[in-house]
Amino acid sequence: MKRSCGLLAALLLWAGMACSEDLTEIPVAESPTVAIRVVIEAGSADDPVGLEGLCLLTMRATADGGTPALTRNEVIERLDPMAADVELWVDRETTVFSGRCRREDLAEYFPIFWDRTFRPRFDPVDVERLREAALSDLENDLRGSDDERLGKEALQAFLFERTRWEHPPTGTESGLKAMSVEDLRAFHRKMVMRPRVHVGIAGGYDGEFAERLRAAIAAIPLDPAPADEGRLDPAPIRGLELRLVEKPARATAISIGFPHDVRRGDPDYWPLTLAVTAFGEHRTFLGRLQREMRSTRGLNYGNYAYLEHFTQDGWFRYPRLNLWRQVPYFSIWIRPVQPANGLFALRQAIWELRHLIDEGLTQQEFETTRDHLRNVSLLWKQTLMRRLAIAMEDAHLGRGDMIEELAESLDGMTLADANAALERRVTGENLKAVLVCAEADSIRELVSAGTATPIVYSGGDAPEAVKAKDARIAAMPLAATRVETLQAKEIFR
Amino acid sequence: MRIPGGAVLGLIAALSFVPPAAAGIFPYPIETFELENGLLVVMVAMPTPGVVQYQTFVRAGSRNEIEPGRSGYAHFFEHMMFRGTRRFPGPVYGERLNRLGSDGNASTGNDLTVYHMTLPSTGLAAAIELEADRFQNLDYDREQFRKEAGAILGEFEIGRASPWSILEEKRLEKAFRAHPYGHTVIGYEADVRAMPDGFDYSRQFFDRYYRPENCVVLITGDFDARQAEELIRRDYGGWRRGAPAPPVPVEPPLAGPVRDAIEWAGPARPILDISFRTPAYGEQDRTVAALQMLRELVFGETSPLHRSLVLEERVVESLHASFDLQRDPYLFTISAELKDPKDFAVVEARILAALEEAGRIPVDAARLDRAKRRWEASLLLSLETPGGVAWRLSDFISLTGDPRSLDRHAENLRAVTREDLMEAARTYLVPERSVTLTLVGKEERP
Repeated sequence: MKRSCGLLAALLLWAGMACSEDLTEIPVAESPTVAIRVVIEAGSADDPVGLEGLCLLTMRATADGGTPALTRNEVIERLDPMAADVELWVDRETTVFSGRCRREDLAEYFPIFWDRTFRPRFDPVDVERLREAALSDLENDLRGSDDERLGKEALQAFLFERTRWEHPPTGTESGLKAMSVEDLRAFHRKMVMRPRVHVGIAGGYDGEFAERLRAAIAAIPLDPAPADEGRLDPAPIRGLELRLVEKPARATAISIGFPHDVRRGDPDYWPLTLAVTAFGEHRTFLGRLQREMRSTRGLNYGNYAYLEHFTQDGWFRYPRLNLWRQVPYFSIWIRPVQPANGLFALRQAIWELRHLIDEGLTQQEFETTRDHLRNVSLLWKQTLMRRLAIAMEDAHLGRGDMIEELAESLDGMTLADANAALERRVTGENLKAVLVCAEADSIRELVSAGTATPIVYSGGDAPEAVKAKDARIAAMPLAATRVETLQAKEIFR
Repeated sequence: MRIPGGAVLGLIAALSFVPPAAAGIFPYPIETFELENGLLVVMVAMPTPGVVQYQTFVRAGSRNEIEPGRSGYAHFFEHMMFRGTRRFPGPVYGERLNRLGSDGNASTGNDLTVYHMTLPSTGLAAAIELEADRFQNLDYDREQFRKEAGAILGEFEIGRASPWSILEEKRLEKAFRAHPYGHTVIGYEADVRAMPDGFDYSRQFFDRYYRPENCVVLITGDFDARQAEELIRRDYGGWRRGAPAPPVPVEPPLAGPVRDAIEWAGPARPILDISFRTPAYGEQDRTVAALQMLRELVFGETSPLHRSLVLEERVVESLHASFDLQRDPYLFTISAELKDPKDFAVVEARILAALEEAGRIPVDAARLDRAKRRWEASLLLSLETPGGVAWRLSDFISLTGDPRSLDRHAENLRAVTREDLMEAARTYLVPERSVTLTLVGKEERP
């Protein structure tokens, strides 16, 4: 789906990049390895109505299937001694294929990678197996055993309800069952065309190979008039809107968020990045949320906040890149808490957010986070693939190097900048929240009645100052404007 | 777009440095020294400009949780170590590392607990000072201890949402009766829930295992080795040795095949899980290397069994085998996620038949050669970052105390013969050494 950005400037930048047949190159003659990355502007938001999951199944059948020259088994046999593969990530607006190999394997690996990205065999047997796996993932993993992922997907569905961004890349049960092999072929034919395709290569390849790659890119069919098919316009949020996803969960997983329009290039982007990092950096104790909820209260394992859609990039705790979104969204991820503390945790997360906006960061939080970002950003490019992904991100946005841009912004940033950005662009009032929980009825009653929900400590007590704050949080009115319950087994059906 | 030289190319070129030929498969020179107190220090300088990995690992994991009711304490310590010292209390410790740009965490396994951080090289001296202090002077009170117990319970609950957690718990419980490998790293739920009252035991656990002679400091990446050595001698030199740790119980042989069935409360794929008791890691023979190869050859994606069960007949959704290298005898485990629980018996028979065949018929020589090449390619691809190098080495240091064990293991793998494979399969992957479990979701009882 060709995207229309909210801001004219962003639209022009974006359209310029999308229309170029770009190849991002990072040549390193001495490198013993090579990384290849292909980003395609096609995602689950492009799934036709009634065929939700089509993008995922199409791309999975491509990356996991055979090629015109080789059956799937032959592909596996060839890749195995190279310890190489084709990795796939499907998001709502983009799909990323990536692969790595040793330099000496490139000549053998590249044709397989390329065919596994652009020339799928769509063997009906492979497609059927992958369809069954996708359905099983939906039923057994997403709904069945991964409450945190369910919470995050349910939050996105809530934020973007009644749009084509509502369903997850995995699709829906009915959509996955409805699609035919011909649907996959048609989707691939339609979407995998220039100028939607962006290619990058890094590492130990030579000029001759680069020419070969350029020729391969030139052979990708060109869509002469790519359609601008949709604009995401999420419904405004009025007050606190709450969705309870009910299942026999042992603990309660919470996700909270709101859509916004702050992207790189916006003067508030880096100040907000700093502020959100200080509030809840992913998987660290830097953030205020983590310190207040876990370190001080022992409520759960982790509490984090994100300025944009976030999934972790493998073993790195940095964001997976090239998941371009027309409308970004802010989110808070509260990892599972004991059911008795579900509403307290929801209240505390909102409390902390409101206080962040009202009172701002402290000078110490600002300085610590500024130093942290300056230094930790030096670790963001540790691998060829990470470097390639960042370069492709920069190219897509028509901007210079991300890390240099951040450093430059931090040099001139003040506490007032970060706090003003928070006040301007972040809301603590108009939020959507999802609780994956058991006993939704009782939660709903507590919320509707405005009942205070005190924290229950699992062992011992808390200092007086903490208890005093606990009491204020427990009694904080949630004033939910909307509370609804969905059964987990019915979601994404 | 072609990214030109300058800083970008500089870093990439360095990350992609082609090292000089070394005697073994590991491509970088390894330097080691030991302090008088027994602390082993391993340094691997590699040209990753400006980036370094600093690991401290304790050669204690759930294997060392020998007292009943105390499962999960090694992992608990992974958490408590972030509570700081009197000199650098937790928030101060955290803030200093945050300012340095440290990307750190910790993890606990059966045999070791690893504290790791990647950070700009400019922060290495400060990191050494902070880490040396917390390993010698950890300080926390009962209140902090109880709060952290809540976080552990939260972590337990995350895992407990998955049927695999209960399957693993049952598998270990059935496979080991005396050895602490019989419980999971996170511990039994009852023990986790009782942790808030375990403050005194926690101090005992710390005193017992967090001693220099039981720890290793590992530095990889871009750093000045001489300067690092000087700082380590200065900051860790005063760490006192501890008393000898109590012995780990020896597990008696398994008394014949063991079976059990599990019912999971929610939706779940039916799972067939077969484990075999295998030997401890050893460099003296090729048994462990042969078992590693068997995992690939009999159950990997190119295996005939995988092809038939997963791709052709499609009775199995996924088929995996695992064989982790451990200090004490452990398990070779095959897990199959089925589509229908009625196929349990058929799939089990096919798995056992494949193993029986592996003990009787030599594997195709070309396949064995490809499996060896795969392992070597995989190793090279994993050595791109200081962290990747450190993790590969720490696996082996934890087993033997010697980073060069990686090279010796590679030699064993290269030398594995088809006869070795048959011998290992006949000796270890046989029904009398097995624990077989089935798991079904609530609505899928056969």
